[in-house]
Amino acid sequence: MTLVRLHTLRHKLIGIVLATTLVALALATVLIGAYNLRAHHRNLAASLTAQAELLGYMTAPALSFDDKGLAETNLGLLRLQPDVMAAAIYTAQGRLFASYASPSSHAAPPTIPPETEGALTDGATLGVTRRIVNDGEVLGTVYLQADLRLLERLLDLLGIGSFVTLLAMLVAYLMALRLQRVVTRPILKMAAVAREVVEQRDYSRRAEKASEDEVGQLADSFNDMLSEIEERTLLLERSNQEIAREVGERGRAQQEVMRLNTQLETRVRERTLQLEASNEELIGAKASADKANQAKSEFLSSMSHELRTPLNAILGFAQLLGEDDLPIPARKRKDFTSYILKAGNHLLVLINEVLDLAKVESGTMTLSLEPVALGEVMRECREMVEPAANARRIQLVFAHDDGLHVLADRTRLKQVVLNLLTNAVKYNRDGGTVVIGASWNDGERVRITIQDTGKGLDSEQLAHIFQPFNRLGQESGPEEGTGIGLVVTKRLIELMGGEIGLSSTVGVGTVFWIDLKAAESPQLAAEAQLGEAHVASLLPPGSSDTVLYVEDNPANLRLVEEIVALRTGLRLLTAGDGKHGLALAREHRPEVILMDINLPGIDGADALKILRREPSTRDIPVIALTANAMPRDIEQGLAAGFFRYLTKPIAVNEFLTALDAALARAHAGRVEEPAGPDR
Amino acid sequence: MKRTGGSTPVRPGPFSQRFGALPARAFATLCLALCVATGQASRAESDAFDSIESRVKAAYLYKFGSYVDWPQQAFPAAQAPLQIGVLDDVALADELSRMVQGRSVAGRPLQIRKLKSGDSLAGLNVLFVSKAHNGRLADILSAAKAQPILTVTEADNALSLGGIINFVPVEGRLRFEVSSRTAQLSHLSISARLLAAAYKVENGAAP
Repeated sequence: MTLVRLHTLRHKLIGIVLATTLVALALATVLIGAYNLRAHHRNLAASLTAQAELLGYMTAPALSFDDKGLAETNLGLLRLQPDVMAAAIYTAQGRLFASYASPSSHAAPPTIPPETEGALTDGATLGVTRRIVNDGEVLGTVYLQADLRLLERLLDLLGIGSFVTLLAMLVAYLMALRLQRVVTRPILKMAAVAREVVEQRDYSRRAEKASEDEVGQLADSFNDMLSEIEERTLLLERSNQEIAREVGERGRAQQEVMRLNTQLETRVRERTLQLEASNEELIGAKASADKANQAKSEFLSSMSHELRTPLNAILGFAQLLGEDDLPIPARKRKDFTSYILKAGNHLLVLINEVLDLAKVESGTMTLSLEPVALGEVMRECREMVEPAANARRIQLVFAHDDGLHVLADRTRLKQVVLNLLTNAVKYNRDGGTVVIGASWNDGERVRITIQDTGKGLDSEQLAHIFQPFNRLGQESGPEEGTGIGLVVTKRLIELMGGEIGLSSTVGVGTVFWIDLKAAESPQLAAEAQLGEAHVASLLPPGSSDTVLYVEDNPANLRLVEEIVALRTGLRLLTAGDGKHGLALAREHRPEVILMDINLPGIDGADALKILRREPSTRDIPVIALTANAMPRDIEQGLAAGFFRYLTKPIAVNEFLTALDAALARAHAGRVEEPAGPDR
Repeated sequence: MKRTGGSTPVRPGPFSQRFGALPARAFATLCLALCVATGQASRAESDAFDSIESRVKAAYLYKFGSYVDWPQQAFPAAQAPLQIGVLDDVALADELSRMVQGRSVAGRPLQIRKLKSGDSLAGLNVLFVSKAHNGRLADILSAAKAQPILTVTEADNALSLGGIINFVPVEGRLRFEVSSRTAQLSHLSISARLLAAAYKVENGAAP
């Protein structure tokens, strides 16, 4: 049976009922059949036994009285028993006495009686043997042979069994068809409820409890489960709502975050723009720095050119003068000398300007601001410029108010005015005019104006005029210049708290103006100048003193020798290096030592330290005479203990002044201390 | 049923040794049949025949007891022997005595009494009157009348004379006839089985 293949519960139930019925009926049929056959066998055996007994009983007289006829008559009665196929009666001696054969069969009884008494089954036949006993005496034997009719009985049983089975199956099917509803209906109802629950999501439905059996319990459990599910569904929905609410909140939070992000992006964009702007500024700054750097390089090359030009004149004329073989007249010599002086002065100007610029740029320029009488400065400048102006028939017009005082460093102010004035002459046309003015600008400031009638400057040139190392297209011009004069001028003015500016018209001319703070009293400055002059005059001329000059450069030695030779009463000792210089100092104990700094072996600074350590030379004033002209060098030199720090090239007057001061100091020291035995 | 020659009588050994009633009877029957078949009877043969016949008769005599119920008063005690009386036939009586040795009928031993004419019949259960007494059979039977004595005769009209069982030769074989009415009168109950084996049964013929 393929019960498993039956899909519905109904079919399964019916199948089970039918299968059970079939098995029961088959078993019953077999058992009943077996029992029937056995009973039949036993009945037949008993019947035959009884008949044999009866036959024997009835036939006993026949045997006793040798009446075969009676025996055969008795046997003949067996024809009424169709089962009996054959029968026989034997005498006590075992001889066949009478026999019978069923007309329907051809069986014949055995000629000899079976030895054992009783029923004996042989195949489909049953043989019954019975002794005939009368008064304890065996008279003979009766033998009956019957057909068991097994096949017929089996067929009959099979037929009946099949019929009953079919009938019973039919009845069972019909009954099951009706009765299975008792079982399936509640289950199907429950299934329908379950399906509705699933389809409609209605967990409030409940299955009907139809009975108290297992299905009823199932319905109860199902309902309990539905309650549980309903409850959990409610919880789940609540939880879902909660989650949805949280999701909404998170969405809002996310929107907030996005809004903040947008703001942040905006800020980042703004910042980026700022950065880009600053980058552009940096690029611009870098470009200008590059440009300045480039200008500096150009400046260095032009400086080289500018320095070489006067050097060329100096060296060239010096060579001419130094050549003894050439016949140079005295007048020419004087001209050569004046060329050399002129070129040397120009070179000095150049170097001073560069140094000034370096000071200004490095911030080490120190100014002493004081009230300065403007008119005085104007006069001095006029004296200096007038020759150049006259040479080109340029008229200088000084239209300044007298009595004006400005707060400034007198030397630097003069340098500024002179520079502007020189430029105004230099870049003017021949026969032009330069007008210098000075007047109150407002209540606190004084404006100085210098106006020329030159070519003027265009806007491009105006934009770059105060940038370092620009010469405004004059790089290749005939006018000498360093391109840094205006730059230094502007820096100096600014350091003095003033302003400088200009306006220009191409073809008409240029006006430079300078604003400076006004000042009131010029008296202190004048007194200071007087003090300085007084010190200088204290020099006692005519005394005989020894001066030691330590210098490795022969030219410089020669120059100083010439200068010292101008003075009477001075003896000059010279040494080519520090070691030799120290030896001479110890030996001669000069009044003053002139010391170069850059010396072979022991340099000037170390030599000074050694001199200061030794008592015999400790008090000798030492004047530094060096080309190390940087302010830091000067500062360090003075700190190291040099009496004066003179830079090359040597300004003769300044040199002599310093020398006189040192000699005065030496004489003063010598008066204070007791005189040594060797003096 | 084919009878196979006369070889069987020639072998008396086993027969005499066995002493069985049925073999003896069968043997007698067989001899009788042979005699009838031959149809010759010499003197000696006649004696032999008589001897056989007497033996058959003797056998029948005690066998009748198995099919007859005697009234209770016929026996003095429960285990009292069944007395068979043989009138004036010593040979048969001897034969019968030999034959019933060790046998019993309905639980009773058998006792053979040799009777002579005029002897009392008291205590007898079976009385055999040979044909030698056929002439005065009526007297003998009347003496036994109304007593529970099974009378066995061998006369043609014995039943009408009041006999109960009478031997009759039929077709060369020894048969018997029975008068159940006389038996009733004598308070004897004769089994239907014996009646079935009887050659003839007389019921209503009153003597």
